[in-house]
Amino acid sequence: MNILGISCFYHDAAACLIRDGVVIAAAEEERFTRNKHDASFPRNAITFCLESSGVSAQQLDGVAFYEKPLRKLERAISVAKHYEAHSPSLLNEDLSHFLHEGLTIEQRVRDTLNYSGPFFFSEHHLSHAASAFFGSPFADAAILTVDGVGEWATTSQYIGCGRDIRLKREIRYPHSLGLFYATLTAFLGFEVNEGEYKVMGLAPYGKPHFVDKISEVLELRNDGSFANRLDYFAYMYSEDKMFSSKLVDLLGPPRHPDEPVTQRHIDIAASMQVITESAMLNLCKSLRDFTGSENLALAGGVAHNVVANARIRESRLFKNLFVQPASGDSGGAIGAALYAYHHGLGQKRRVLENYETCLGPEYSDSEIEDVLMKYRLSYQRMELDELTARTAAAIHDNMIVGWFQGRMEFGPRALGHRSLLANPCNPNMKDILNARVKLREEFRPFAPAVLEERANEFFELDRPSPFMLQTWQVRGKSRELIPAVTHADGSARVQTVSEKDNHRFHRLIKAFGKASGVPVVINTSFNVRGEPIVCSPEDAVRCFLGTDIDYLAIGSFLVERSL
Amino acid sequence: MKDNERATRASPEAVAVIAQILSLVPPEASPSNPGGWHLVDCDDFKLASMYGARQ
Repeated sequence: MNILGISCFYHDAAACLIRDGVVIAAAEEERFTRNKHDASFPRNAITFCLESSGVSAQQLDGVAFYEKPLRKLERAISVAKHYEAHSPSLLNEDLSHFLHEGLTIEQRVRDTLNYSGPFFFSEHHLSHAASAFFGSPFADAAILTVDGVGEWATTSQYIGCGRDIRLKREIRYPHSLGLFYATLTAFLGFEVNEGEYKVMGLAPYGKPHFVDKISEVLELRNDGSFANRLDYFAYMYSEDKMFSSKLVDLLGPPRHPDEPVTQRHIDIAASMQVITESAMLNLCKSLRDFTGSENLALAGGVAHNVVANARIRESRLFKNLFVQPASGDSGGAIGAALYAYHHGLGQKRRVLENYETCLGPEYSDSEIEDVLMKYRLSYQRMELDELTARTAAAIHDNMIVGWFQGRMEFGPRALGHRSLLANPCNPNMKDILNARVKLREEFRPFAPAVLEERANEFFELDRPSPFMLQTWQVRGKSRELIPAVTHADGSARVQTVSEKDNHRFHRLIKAFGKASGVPVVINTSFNVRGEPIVCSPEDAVRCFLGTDIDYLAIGSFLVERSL
Repeated sequence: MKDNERATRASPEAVAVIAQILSLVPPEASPSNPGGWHLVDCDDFKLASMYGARQ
């Protein structure tokens, strides 16, 4: 039984294909169009999912969309009417968007694919919940979803049992933890839906001196819920402003994007991170209290806050935690399809032991070689043993390596299939990577990938962490060993790599460990600032040629810049 | 597949009419809600509907 899942028209459009309850293909549209966070109808991603699975549109048993466009329109109209005095043009903008995009989705899919079968509309938060619960190894779980906004809900608590998901309660727009974080991200001069990671990276350098003031902005309640103090915000009625003048009165002048980051900005980042963690812990505690579950499945954009996830883990409110690796809107495609499979089509659930994230395109050596020849690159073809040994030696020599192997990852993290790799032992490597390739802000940390079986030697880690979704403390004695991946607070966003799940990457890290004594590499996404992660061999070669990456290990080929 | 079509603006008349029609239906929630929990207790999400009100 095949179901196509689709999310689009807000940000991070994506498609996936579910076969018999298992995701067998998934990709974000941005990877094909090369337009970061592309929200448009995901025609390339749909084509990839169908073609790679050998399924025609006529063979689909269902198509599922990740939210209910009419209910979203209802919210847009209600909000526009409520704030009409502030912004008379708001409704026109929203209505145009819905009339031409959201409301047309079913017909657009039917026309485009010549598809006449069942069409399902999940709810936005239900899609997140299903992506987390059905992706988890839990037969039953408490489910928490937190983001900016879906239709009306911004935070939802569910109980999952078998194939059933029951919504218990929700917090509704305009009260939103995701929009609280986005508003302060904008206040700090960073781009909304892009800069949140930067703010999270900035926070450990600061002191939470503004906690009392920012507590004025978001009221945390004893029942685990919260309410935004709306007079500090403008996102309800403004097309280009997230915050009101009252927030400026409270916190001082906002930072312009071109201004330097000062200690005041850093302290605000630290303070909003503290409040966000408190809000998440409150939500989790209330959920644990009324469900009694020892399992938590977590999704929604706020679940990409890896520091808050670590606080949840450390709180031990739940024994087991599963965070959906694609917690943003792209993952909604997966949740919608999985929910439709179990409920729209009434299928039984298979609880999965392992979750797979490498669901995108892969390319044969022959396809890769054609691209290398097209770009007239000198390359060597070699067996895996030699490829990993030569690549490990290059990393040990402080070279930057583009590592392009197997299927592309789904979700925002590169996990050893479309990665840039470097030496974590070199204290200057963060600056080198930034200067030569990534061009990121100097305060943002790089993440380590470590052999799963040796992770505990270097990190205070009590379970596998294969998706880089939580931070862990670097052990005291290891901080000097791997300075390039140790953040200001001694933490790291660890990826553990197992032989079983990621054979080639495991082999490489093992070879690097043999050369350096440290089975850890820097693993950052294979892209440059402002561009999506590379998808095809051609994307990888272009990135290689356009930057100062030293080596490209692509399929069975090693390309050296100096050759 | 066809290329994406970028939305054009709706006419003011269309906006007014649609807003009027939709205002006849009581919305599921209100932007003036006070925050905090809304109790729902629902497991029927009306998958066939692009609206699917829970009431």
